[in-house]
Amino acid sequence: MAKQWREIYDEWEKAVAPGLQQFTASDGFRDFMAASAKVTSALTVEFERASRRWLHFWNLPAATDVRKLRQQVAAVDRELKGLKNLVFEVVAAAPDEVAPATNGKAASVPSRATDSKPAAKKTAAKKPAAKKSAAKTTAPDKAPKSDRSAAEQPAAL
Amino acid sequence: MPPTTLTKPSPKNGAKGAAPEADAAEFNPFTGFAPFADMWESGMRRWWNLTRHVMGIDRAPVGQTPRDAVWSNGKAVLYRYRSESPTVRPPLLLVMSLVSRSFILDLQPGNSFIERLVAEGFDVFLLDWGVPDEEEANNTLETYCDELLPEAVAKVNQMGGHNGVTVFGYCYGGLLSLLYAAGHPDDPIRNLVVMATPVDFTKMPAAMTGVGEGGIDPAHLMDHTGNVPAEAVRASFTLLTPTSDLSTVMDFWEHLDDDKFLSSYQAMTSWTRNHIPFPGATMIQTVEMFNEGNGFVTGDLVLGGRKLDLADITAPFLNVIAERDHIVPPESTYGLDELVGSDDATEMRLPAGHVGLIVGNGARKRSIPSMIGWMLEHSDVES
Repeated sequence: MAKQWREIYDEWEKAVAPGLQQFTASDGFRDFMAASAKVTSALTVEFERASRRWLHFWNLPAATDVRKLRQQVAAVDRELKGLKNLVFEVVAAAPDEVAPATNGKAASVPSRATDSKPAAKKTAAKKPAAKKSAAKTTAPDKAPKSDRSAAEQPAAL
Repeated sequence: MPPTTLTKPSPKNGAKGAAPEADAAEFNPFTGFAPFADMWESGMRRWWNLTRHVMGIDRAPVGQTPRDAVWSNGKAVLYRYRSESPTVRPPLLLVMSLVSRSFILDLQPGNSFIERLVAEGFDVFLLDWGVPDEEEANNTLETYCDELLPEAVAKVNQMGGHNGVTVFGYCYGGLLSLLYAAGHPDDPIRNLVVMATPVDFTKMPAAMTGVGEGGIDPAHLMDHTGNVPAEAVRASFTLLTPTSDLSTVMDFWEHLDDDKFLSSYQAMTSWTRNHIPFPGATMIQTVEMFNEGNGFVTGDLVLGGRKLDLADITAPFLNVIAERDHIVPPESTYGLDELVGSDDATEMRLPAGHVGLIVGNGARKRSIPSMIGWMLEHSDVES
């Protein structure tokens, strides 16, 4: 008895599935989906515009404002990453002459004989191999935290 | 009515007129209630399994092989799987698709591609792209193939003792691996393996290629983050086999009293029902380069302003094809071994589906050993 309902379903599925697959693969269905996506998108835009006007009237931020902010933050983050990589490359290319200073500007590093304090900077200059990979230390089965070792992280960033 | 020995006619007395004393004499109190007991046990187990499935109690864990995160850039994380003493060189880098979660490669103990690789002595790394949001909406193919993949390969190569790297791409991860390998011929790629990777997009199912010219405008699919939402990604897979969701529910109901089945069911459905968003800019680029341009076949591949040629891939190459694949049909992947420039290029056709290549009994018995065999042949194995 337990299998009887399954047999009935399997028979139904065998009869219906090919037709359904053919339908979802047809040009007509694709056109319908394209039109549906277009209408949904247009309606969403219109609804957002109306609600934004209403919220702005009361001097309240709308979801689109938050979205714009998040996108701006993401863009700044990307730019920062690019700059970081650039600094790594500069440090690796000229290890004895240029190193990033704490104020964000490149500064000259004292000669190794006289410099006794910024050990991290010196180590960074000595190990160009880790310059680009932005490698991070390990944590079991967790996304690594930004505890990059001194050898790999210029002091300015 | 449940079968029971109480009503069974006695052969001695016949069906009619059997004396109650005779029936009573035949009833064995130790075994007579067994059918009721079985039904009771099965029923109770069904209700308990249904309850814990609905309530989310004691869900089957996935991705259990121990690993460490060894590198990251943005949301992309490189994991290294723990191994006492890897005996196979070079290390193996698994590159996952952009639209599905990577734990499919390490589904459950005993049913895990990665667990098997580690057991065979491979030093296994996995590149997981993470779940994109606004930050990744502008990621392009260049981001993945010219920035993240080269960095990850360099890291794996460094950690593996500079022996080169075997790059292994699955599905869309294979596409990324091909673009990367073609664009970086000087990188330390020792072997390149792609599995269930779309090549000829004119032979892909309509549900996968319906976006683009004459179909759905990619811009209409984007959500507020600028990415194609996970639900849309999942819907495109569902449209390939519209009744599959219902069939899965039927399987679930039929085998609800089977704890082992429930565990596998939960693990698989947690993968098939949890896709991840597709970065918007990559989506648009994919539509232009592959859905509309069929770049691998026409040779019209441009990445970061430079023209790519698959013939620049000279490392030993393996193209794994699933002959029952309904997502990436085999005919859309044939002939890739002739497009690459490797002298040692192999096409491996396996009787499996898209996921069945790495999950299930067929994978355990046929697909995985075949792939491992090829990789061992093209690696250095310490005794």
